[in-house]
Amino acid sequence: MSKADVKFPSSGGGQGIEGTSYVFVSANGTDGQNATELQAAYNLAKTMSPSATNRITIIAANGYYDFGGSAFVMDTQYIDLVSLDGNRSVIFNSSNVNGTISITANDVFVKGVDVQTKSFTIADNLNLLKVENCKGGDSSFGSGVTLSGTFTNCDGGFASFATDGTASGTFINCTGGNYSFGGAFFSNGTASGIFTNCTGGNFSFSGALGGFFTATASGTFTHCIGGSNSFGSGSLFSTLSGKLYWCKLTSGAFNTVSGSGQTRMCLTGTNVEDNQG
Amino acid sequence: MANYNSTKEGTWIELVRVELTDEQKTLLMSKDPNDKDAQEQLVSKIKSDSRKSVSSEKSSELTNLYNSVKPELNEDDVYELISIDVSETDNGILNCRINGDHKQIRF
Repeated sequence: MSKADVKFPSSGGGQGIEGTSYVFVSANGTDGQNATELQAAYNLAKTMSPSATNRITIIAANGYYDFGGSAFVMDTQYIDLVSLDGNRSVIFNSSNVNGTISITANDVFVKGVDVQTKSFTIADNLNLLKVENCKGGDSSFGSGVTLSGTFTNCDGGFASFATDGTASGTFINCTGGNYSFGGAFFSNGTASGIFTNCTGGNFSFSGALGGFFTATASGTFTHCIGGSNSFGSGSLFSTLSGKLYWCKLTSGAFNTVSGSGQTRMCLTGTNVEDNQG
Repeated sequence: MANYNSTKEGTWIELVRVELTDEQKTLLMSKDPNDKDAQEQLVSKIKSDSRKSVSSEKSSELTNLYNSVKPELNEDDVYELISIDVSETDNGILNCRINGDHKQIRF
């Protein structure tokens, strides 16, 4: 069957549109029909021989997509998903926690997806993954994983961005809750990547609770804001060996730097300037 | 899936994701002094389970990979390895500093 023979399901009543390198999701049906249409578009994209030189983009129109109790799994490289307007307008509104997005393929670009309070799920070691302008709930953007992709303008809740794992990628204008960005909650955490204009809660940027786990902030942090016990602080096993420029704590003080660690023009929770190393 | 990590040239560990039960999570969050010993035992177990030593053969293989992705340096360059993370399929990321500037190399 050739591509021309594929009947693109337009469950909402509109006509499916596809080009050589894209598939359009019109999202003019019910929330469930929109989800079915998006899944069908993804299945169609897989038949279009995606490769490094033939990326396929699924352009999804603004709307609600209800995947019920199953995740929308992006398991194929070189198939991207972007919202029509670039905003967070592709909204996964299932009330079931499993009705979220799950990215397991490496070389993928995703933009404009909001899974509301559900976990925006990302697999381990996706170093070529790029995620932009997306939003998830608690434990989003990798939990217990090595998070080595590039994340721009993304928001997660509690324990997001490689909590209990390694945040080794690039993070720009991202926001997370407590224990985000390599925070150590139930295991060791490391923040070894590049963090710019990011904001976390308490124990963020490889902070740790109490005397339990190892937390290592060895990356580069510029204009980042953390709560108490952030930036390689909070436990007996915490290390701040990274470089902090113009960073701010909303509470407490910075750990003492070790190794080649430095803080420059940083502010403690009481607005005392901190310059170490 | 195995993950390998190095923060010191020639030294590797395998990072293993440890899944905790709800009971274990509750124990870790407990503020009851009677749970202190059990907490410490659990933490110790998580720490030992989450970092495993790497065989010398695998270590050599990983070091060769590291050397192949490590950037070429000029004579006066000051190089600092921050961290290299490698998956079992040999893709990963190298975070390093050259003359103080943070570089990332994805491979």
